[in-house]
Amino acid sequence: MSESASDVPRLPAADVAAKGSVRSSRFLGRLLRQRSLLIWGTVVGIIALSAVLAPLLSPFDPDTGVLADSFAPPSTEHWLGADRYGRDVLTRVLYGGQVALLAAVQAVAIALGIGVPAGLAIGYAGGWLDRILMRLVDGVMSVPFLVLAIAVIAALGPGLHNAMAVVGIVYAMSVLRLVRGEVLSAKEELYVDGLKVSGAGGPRILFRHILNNIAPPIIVQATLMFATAIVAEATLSYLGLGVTQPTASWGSMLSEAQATIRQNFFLAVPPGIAIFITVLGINQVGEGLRDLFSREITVGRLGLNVVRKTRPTASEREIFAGEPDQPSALEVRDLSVSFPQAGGQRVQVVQNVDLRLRRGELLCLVGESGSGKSVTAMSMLGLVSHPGVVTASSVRLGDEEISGLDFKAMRSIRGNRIGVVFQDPLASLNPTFTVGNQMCEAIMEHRDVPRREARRLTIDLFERVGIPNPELRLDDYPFQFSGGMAQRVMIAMALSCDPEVLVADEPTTALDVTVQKQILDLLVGLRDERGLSILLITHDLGVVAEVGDTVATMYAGQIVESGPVAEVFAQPRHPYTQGLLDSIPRNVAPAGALPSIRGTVPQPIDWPVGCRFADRCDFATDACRRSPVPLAPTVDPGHSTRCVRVDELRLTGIGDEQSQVVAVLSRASGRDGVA
Amino acid sequence: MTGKRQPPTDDVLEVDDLWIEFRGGRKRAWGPRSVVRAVSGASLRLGRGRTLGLVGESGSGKTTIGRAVLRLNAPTRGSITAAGFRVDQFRGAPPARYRRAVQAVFQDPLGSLDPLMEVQQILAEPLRIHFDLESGKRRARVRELLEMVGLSTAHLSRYPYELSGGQRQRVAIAKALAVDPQLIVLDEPVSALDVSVQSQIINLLDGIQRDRGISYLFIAHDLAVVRHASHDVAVMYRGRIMESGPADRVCGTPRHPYTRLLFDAVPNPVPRSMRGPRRANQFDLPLPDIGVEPTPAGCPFITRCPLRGPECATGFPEPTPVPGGGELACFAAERVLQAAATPDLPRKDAT
Repeated sequence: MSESASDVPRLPAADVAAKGSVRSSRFLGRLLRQRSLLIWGTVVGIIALSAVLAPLLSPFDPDTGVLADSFAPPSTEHWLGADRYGRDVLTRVLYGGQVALLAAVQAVAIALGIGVPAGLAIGYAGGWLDRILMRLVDGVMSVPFLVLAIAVIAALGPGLHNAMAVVGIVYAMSVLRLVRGEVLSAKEELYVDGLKVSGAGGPRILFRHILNNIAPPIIVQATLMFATAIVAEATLSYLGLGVTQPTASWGSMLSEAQATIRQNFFLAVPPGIAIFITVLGINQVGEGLRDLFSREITVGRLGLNVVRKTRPTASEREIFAGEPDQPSALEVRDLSVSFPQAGGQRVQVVQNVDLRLRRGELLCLVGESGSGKSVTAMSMLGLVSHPGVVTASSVRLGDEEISGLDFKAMRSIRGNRIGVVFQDPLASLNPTFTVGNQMCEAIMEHRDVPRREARRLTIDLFERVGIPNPELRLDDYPFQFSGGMAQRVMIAMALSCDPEVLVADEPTTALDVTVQKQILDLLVGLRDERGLSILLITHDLGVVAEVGDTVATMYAGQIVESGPVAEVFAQPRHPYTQGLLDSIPRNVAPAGALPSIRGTVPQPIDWPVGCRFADRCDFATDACRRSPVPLAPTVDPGHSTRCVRVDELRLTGIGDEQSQVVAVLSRASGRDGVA
Repeated sequence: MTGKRQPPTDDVLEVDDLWIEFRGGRKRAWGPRSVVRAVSGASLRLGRGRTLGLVGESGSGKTTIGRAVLRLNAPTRGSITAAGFRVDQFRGAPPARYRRAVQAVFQDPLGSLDPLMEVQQILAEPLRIHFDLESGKRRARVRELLEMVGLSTAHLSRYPYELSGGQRQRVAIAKALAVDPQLIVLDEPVSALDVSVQSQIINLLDGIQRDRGISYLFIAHDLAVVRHASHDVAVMYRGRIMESGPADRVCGTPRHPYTRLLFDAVPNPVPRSMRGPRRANQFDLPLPDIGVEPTPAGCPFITRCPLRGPECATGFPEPTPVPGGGELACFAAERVLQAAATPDLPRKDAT
């Protein structure tokens, strides 16, 4: 398998980290955490403020000087000296700042004023209007802006405003392109369809909804444009196309300094530094805003998170006691995964999980979303994203201990001895290479074989997973494969190095039922014919019943029940498993409301001390909430549960028809019905 | 939704011989554009206060029909009458009265809500568009809507990404209810949710239907869910309606070979060791050789059908009535219905 970042499932780090902070101050909080944005924002603010307050800060007039002070060196009176005409340089730099800022504001305002509405309109309307206007934009953008500026100044006479208007119009073209592109993609969003169905008209959708959603890139673009507009003003003034003498501008100051560079080179330094710091500062602010707006959390190195070995906990219990003594293919003890929390603490999303996958067995890990089943499987393989920390007292693959191994060793194990299949096969394949190419690469990375041999192996594997015409399909690109065929490719890739264990994370969730059946048949065939041990993560108990040998139910980061599928389905020992069984929609004549489990899986930070399922359980008592409930063996061999009332409850299991939970005991409390 | 209720029978939605084609790309630079046929001659009927389940695999055209009813795409031929409006004859945007009568809930509740709006703004939006309410009344109505879908005022100022999948879907339902519609197109409303939450949403939708007499066009690919949620079911395959009829009949005794294949593929929640041995069925046999190449005008299921004959390659059959209610479109209908009377017919081993 390839190790690209896209292979690694997105983990709920953001959710976990975001939880708990007060919502209203979240944006402000994020802003205050952006150190560089704050610093550079302050720098830019000081520059802008001192330019605006120039008349108060400086006693001198920028445009008239005392000839006696001509080329005066820096002194207490003239901090940065004086120029040829005896004008104070600091004063001229400050007033020059005014010109630069005003010019930039003018250019950016024109750019946004033309670009945003036009971009919105043509992006939303599309069709011939879009085609004609975009050709016009292409035309304007293919002329250098200096040529345009000279042409306009020749026609309208010199002046900074004319020149900056040209700059603004040229910038408007790139704003228009950006906005049009953003609108085109925002238009495809489902919420826009939702608004149309709500009866919202074009202008309402555009200005009230789409504009808000595409504002961040426009703001960032405008900020960066502001910086280039300052450079453009300096360039134009330097060339004499901008401000006229004697008005101070950073560009004109540079030009004057150049004329007298032999007498006094220092004069070029203050305006140069002013331009440099201002442009740098504004660009940094732009970058900072971009980070601020990007919702994506900055995840460190994806998939580089190895399992840290911990000492076995004090109560080293033999939870696998009583199980048939069959060699295990993959065995985990005390696996925990934690993510950092906003307040600096860490929250455990998976807690003390023990799992055993026996050789030639198909073990299903089930639970609702948010139960931690995916994280559990990925963490064993070292595929948890960066801020997460994975610990385990032992992870054994066959007879070998693999916890505590470094990333390189884990990588070789993942490719050679454990194959992995993810939910979305097309996202796991690189769209720019043929499928055969990627397969061969994967094989050659782990085995020392020539390409010809790798190709032959690939054809073999494709045949084995039931891809028709493998020789021809080899040269197809991923997009040419249907969902089911792409999943077969992923399975073939996972099998390419003849692994002992296959980990499949929701491999059929995105597929149609008929295709799902084929993929499940394929997995069962691999188990029965090749003795492959498979860990299958799924939320569908129907799938478990079809293919599973053993099942482990997860809830809120813990295993709450595990045992042989037939036994767990016939006689579950945990009310959560029963609830899941009841919720399966079944093809029977409907009788009353569908049973469901009320409420939802709580967030990791809200997990209670006692039984984590207690708040959703119809049988919960005070004893359940008092203290953590251990996973304990039941009377049946190999079947364990995490329920205080295991001896009292008699749950009905899957039964023959859809029936509500019937307990021997009357309901523990008055809480009833579905949420 | 037990089929026991007998709501009035006037139709809220009537789709008649609907064809929807999309223009694809060109094979050569100056060649003609290719045409993708998404829906071919579909006819549907949905009575007031009832639910019509539209099922099929991806690419069957079920979502395309739903979007055509919402006028998010335009039909090529045929007519759609919804809530008394001829949807196929709209020019430009449909009138606001139509938007009040027909609403939608989409599959992906996160994508279908404006990410920058709080729940209260999302729910107030349709009220602002359609009704001239003063802000106090509008706020009261928003609260009432929240309550209707089982959410509390604590959710008012949440953003969609702060809600769980089920809660988001409840907001989407509340938004649809805001304008008091007659018909809601439910496009895979529970497919993205956990099973335990799926049933909560189905039960909620059922309760709303009982209280308000709203009709649902329920588009889904999960057959068992559809049986619980629908009065009638239509099964689609590659743009064609293969079989339709009362939900209990279609799901309980499916007749069309495609419907049977579909139901046979649904995972059975009873573990294998607890079931009887699986009976062999037609799908285990090699397909008969018909000696004719399939054409686009023929039955789309011909490539997988164990009952296929030469006539299936060139034409699509007229629907045949089925005892027990509904119709099926199959040239082998007679054989299918006769076989259904005999016991060695491949029946689903689940129930």
